[in-house]
Amino acid sequence: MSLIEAENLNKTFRIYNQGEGIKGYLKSFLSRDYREVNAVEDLNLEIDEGEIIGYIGSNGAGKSTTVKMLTGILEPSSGRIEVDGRDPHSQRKKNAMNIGVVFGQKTQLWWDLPVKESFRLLKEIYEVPDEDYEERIDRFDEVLQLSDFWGQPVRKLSLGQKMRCELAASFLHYPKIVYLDEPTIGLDVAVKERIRDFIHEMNREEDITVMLTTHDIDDIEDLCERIVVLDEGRKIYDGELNALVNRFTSRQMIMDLRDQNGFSLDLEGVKDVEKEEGHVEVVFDREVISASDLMRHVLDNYEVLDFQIKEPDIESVVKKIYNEGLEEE
Amino acid sequence: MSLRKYYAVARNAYRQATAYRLDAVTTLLSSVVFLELYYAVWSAIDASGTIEGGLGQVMTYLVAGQIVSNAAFLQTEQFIGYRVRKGTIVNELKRPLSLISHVYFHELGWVVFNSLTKALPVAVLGIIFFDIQPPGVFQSLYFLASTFLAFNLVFLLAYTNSMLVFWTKVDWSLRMMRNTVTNLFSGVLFPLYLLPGSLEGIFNVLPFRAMADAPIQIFTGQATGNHIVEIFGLQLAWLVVLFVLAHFAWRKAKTKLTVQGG
Repeated sequence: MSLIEAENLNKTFRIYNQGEGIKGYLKSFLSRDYREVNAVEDLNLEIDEGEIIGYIGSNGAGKSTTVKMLTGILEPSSGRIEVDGRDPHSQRKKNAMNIGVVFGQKTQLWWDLPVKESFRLLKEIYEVPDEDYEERIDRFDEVLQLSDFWGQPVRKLSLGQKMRCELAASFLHYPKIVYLDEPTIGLDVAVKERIRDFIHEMNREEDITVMLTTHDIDDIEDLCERIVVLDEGRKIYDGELNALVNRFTSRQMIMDLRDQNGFSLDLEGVKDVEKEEGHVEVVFDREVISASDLMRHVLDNYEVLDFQIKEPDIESVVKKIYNEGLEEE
Repeated sequence: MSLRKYYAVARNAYRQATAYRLDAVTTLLSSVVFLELYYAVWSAIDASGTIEGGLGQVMTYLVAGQIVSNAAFLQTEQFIGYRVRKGTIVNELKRPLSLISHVYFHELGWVVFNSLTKALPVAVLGIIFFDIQPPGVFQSLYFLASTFLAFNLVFLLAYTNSMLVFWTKVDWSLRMMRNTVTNLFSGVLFPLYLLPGSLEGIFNVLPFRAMADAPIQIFTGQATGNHIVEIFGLQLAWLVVLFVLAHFAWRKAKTKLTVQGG
């Protein structure tokens, strides 16, 4: 049995239509005019202990709604969820002892109090023993460098400092599962890296399962072996990251030629040839023609000064999925 | 059940409240203005006729009313409303505490702050400037206990009221509405013992009386012996009713929870 199991999960929201102006406003008090929106549709999901899973999709795809259902905050419209053998909604408080959650821009820290006061509260809430608490804070400090601002009121912290705190807060009780809802949004590269290191360490050494929703491609590349892609509430991909990238078989070759006038390629598998200022870009399908065959042909016919082959990066893959869905290739 | 986590919530709320010291000063100031104003009004009434129990008793009653209402002044609607609108209520809901106990201990922290900075000074000022007789030791203890119960009642009413935030998305006006109605019917605005018999019936079937008039009567010494027991009985009865109501309201509100912002 998996640590997290979701079966035929659905969440429907009602969106009430409000007319325009005062008249419409008054009318919306009386009429129950609404439409239903499926935030999550027939979702099946299994996550095993020790995984770091990337949960991606464009804005409004249903990622956060899923996380809110898995954490027990929202009740599914239909379907079954089991997290560590429990229904997270009906046993919300018990489940909560087992999990850590970061909701991106929604800070849980006490605004006017020093950072350490928020942590002391969490220590009591999650019943962390004194000696464990000291040890863990020291450990978190090493990676996240919390002691720089440990005594400062939260309102004086930068976004990056706050997020480091949020992250430490969600791992403080060494929960079985940590849900991170866009933990790196708006952060600079150095902070992002520190956060990723921390997540890695917690996952490796404490065997904490992590579910990560993000728009950040580097997060995914760095942390996740497995990703789930959501589009308009439906799961459209679930599997290894590499396998997804490999499904997009187009490659690009960029060449500098001594003379690009009169350059043409009439080969099977070549999908597009574009002449730019000073170089030529060729898009080809590597299932049909290999890069070496293509190169051999070009070298036989033209004088090549320089060339490079571009692998598809995840960013372009993800962009493609968002825009077109998976069916295209 | 460990109480330490609840104590920690109250403690942080208290510490957070101390960041709003100016708020305490303005509340105190408005209490003083209120009492001065009412002193003038009731002096005029006293000069033109006779008041049951005399002017002194009216002023004692009103001072006690300010003590109770300052101590149990809650802004629960804003606390919850802010979190619902910003969507940060998820942070309360992801924790192994029920929402109501979380909010309750938060408000309790505020009540401790209110009592020290807004209620106690009013008591001192009342004794110095309005010639109020301080209650005796047992009377004071009963008064404190009854005021604590009053806070619990105000909390449950405020919590129930704040569940409307899930529908209305406004909070300040909800709080103002509750405040106004509570003040009117609870005895904070005028002594309830001066009500004509025909109106008393309405006040007696409403819960507001138990939120201020009850401890006030103990403070002024109008309630003694069995009457004090009756007062506690009334407060406890309303506590049960409002507790059930608050739970019902949350169960309804929970279905309206959509969580703003993704």
